[in-house]
Amino acid sequence: MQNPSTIHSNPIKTLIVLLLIGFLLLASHLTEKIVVMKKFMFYVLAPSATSASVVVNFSTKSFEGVKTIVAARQENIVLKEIINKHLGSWVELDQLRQENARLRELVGFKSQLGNMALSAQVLSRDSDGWFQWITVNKGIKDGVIADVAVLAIANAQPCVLGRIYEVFENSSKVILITNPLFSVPAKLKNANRDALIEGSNNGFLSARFLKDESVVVSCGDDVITSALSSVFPQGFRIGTISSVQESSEESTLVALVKPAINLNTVSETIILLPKGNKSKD
Amino acid sequence: MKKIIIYTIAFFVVVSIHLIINTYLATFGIAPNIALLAVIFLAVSKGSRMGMWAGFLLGLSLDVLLSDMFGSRTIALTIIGYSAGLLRGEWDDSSGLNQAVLVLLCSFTYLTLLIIEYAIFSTIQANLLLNHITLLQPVLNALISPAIFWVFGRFINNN
Repeated sequence: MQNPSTIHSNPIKTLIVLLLIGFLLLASHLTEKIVVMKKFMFYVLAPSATSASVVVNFSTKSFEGVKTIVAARQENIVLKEIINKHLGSWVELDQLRQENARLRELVGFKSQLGNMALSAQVLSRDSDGWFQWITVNKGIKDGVIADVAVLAIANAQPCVLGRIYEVFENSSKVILITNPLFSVPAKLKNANRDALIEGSNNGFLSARFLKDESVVVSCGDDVITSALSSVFPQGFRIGTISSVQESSEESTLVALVKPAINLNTVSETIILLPKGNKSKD
Repeated sequence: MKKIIIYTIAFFVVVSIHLIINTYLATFGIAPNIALLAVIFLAVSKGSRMGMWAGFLLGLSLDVLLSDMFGSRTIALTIIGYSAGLLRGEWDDSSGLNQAVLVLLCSFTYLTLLIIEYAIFSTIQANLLLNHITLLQPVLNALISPAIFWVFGRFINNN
């Protein structure tokens, strides 16, 4: 009869081996061999992320298609009546089209920078790291490289979202502006003060700047990227100051900054590629 | 052989569902941790061995796809899988209340393990991991666990 202790010892040995593997992965801090292994595993698992995106997009499109079909018949009758009534409004429609084109040019940030900007969709995100990471659907094949700026549109303006952290063949990992590992040199627009923006893993950022009695920093002031940043061009909106408080160091103040981007709803991003590195979009 | 194929397919499906829910269905970042629920279910229904292997593989997948600390979720889910598996046969796992309590405890344990790992291996202050999402997710996990366990149970019984 088998000794009960040996029956249970095998799972414990297996547990110890698995935990050792886990600790080795943690402690080795992404050495070259670990990175190669991680990239290989990513290619094996990438179909799950892609299929998730395909399933959701297909479901959304199917649902939208059904809604359109159901509404089409009634809309057809209504539109015929409207067309008959408003034949004289074609001129006004033409003017609205021209205005629409101007507004699209304002919102269409990509057209302003030509080939330097690459649009990318959010591919996956985890609630464990909601304010830390997202994965987008553009990678090495599209000309993306690490440590380039990632923006998103808010109120018709391009605003800072994060930067590329890790690049794979068809996707990239973005470190968000609210990630504690993220920091960017910034400027308080109205006060004309340099500051350092850091993430806090929640919906706000912290801005540290030197105390100066002659300068008043108030709530609602805009925070923009500074010329000191090596990743972000100067002048992109980061957020607005929501409160200012003393820091533990006497010479500095800390401001709480509300990001310009609503991180709960971001789905489209813009990757800024360096000049000379044209997008393949 | 058939079982291996079925469990492999189920593994990819669980990862896909986890990604779908977290990416597209999360509300203000709050979404259930399907991978954690799958590990706990397999542990209490099949034992510690299956639980820890499920935890190891699903944790490694989440680390590859989503995490910065490569290995953090691997360790946490492996420990959760093994520990939950020790309860197999020791309690009434058909009771919805028991399932919810177990999932709540395991979720907070998972969070605690991640905080400890970040405190030891990361430059981020471990307390920064705590926000409204990490504190509400265990409650959400517990609330939906009876339904999720029922679905998983149907899958296991049919295969």
